[in-house]
Amino acid sequence: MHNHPEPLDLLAAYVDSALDAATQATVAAHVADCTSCQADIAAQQAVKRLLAPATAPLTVPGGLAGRVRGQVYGSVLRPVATRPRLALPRLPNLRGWFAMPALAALLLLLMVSMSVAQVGPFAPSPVAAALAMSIQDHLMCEHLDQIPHGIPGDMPAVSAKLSALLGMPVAMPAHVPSGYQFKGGHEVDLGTVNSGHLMWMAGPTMLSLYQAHDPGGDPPSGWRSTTHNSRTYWLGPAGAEQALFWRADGRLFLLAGTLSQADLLDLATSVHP
Amino acid sequence: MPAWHTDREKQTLFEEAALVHLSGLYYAALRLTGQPADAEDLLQDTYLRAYAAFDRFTPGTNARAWLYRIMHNLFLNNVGRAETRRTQSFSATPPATLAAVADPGAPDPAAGVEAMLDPRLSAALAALPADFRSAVVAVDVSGFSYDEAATILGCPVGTVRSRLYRARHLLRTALTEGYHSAREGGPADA
Repeated sequence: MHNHPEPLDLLAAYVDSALDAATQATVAAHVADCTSCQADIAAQQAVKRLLAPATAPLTVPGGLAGRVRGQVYGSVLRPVATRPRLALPRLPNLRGWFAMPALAALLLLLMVSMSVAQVGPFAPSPVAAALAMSIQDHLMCEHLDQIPHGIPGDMPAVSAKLSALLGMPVAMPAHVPSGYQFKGGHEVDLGTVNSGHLMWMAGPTMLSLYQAHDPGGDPPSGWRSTTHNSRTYWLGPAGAEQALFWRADGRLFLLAGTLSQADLLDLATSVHP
Repeated sequence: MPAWHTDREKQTLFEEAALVHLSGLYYAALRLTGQPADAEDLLQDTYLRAYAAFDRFTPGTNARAWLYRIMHNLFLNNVGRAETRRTQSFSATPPATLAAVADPGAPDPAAGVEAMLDPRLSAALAALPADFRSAVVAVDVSGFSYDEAATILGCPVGTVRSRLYRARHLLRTALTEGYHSAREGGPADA
């Protein structure tokens, strides 16, 4: 008959390999032929396994990060995270070469707002609202050299950070048009969901890819659908800035940039071949 | 002397040090409180405290452990109030609606959250004394070492070990109730 390890809670530390080597060996020698301790260890391990988080990225409720930011920053300072952030008085301060894209972008924004407003007294569908806010964010980023909550780094690092923040895998295009350089990303509060924004730049021109848990609802009116490789894509109203969105695996994707619709479609199919 | 000069710099540093731990903290908060609404309250309070105290945080040190320490402190300090509220709302809320509570705005219930709301496990955790629950959540849910857990819980390592052992023992007993007790009734020839 052997003496059980004293105190018995050494068995917890034994399961977690948290004992010094000598004690670990002493406990192991006793456990080898003590069925009662073996059962105890099995029970400790079973509970530990049951409580361990899944290996998949954790899912958090939509908009949680936005609500936290709203409360934390909103209580202390002028809100940075509050949307929409499009501040019209800023526009006259833009440098000359920004003026034309800025006007075109503003026009597109107004068109999107109008197409959302067409829904009348009813609230826009969640997906339409999310797209409108993503496009606002894209337009704002193009006009500001400083990105709010920016995540610098290379694509894998930014993708990993955004995946953790959003609680979902972040998809990447296999290629982008020549001349575009990856600049980083940030998390965008779209009201009901948070979206990850990846950005590329070619000179002053920005290319944006937004992805979020799909908030559901009908596509905005004014967007026209096209099918490619049996997936449906919706193209935004024509303008200097083009926008394209699609849905895959319960997620919502939006590309926006100064590219032809054909280029955007090509880019989209490189995210989801 | 804080490491920032403007509020924007402070926010950027806070994003990098603290906000990146949001999903892990939420997961632990859900295990501690057992309820999405209470978990979000605890998470909000934790981040508010952390932001207010951020000038006392040393950049480069373990931000994750620092945040969890704030959260576990808040949980243990408020546990009486939270327990009462949770008991009331739990009895008033059938388990089937909990996924909807977790995410009222989204059509697809978050699978991870739903799986965590296994009513048997939630009930077993809820029945643990708060300091036992805190220990098992810090080590088995959040994956902290015994030393880190001791810092987070503000107790000696030996106390972490004994709380953890007894918490797992009680959970196992609650989950296998009606079959055998975890200590005495194990497989005869295991």
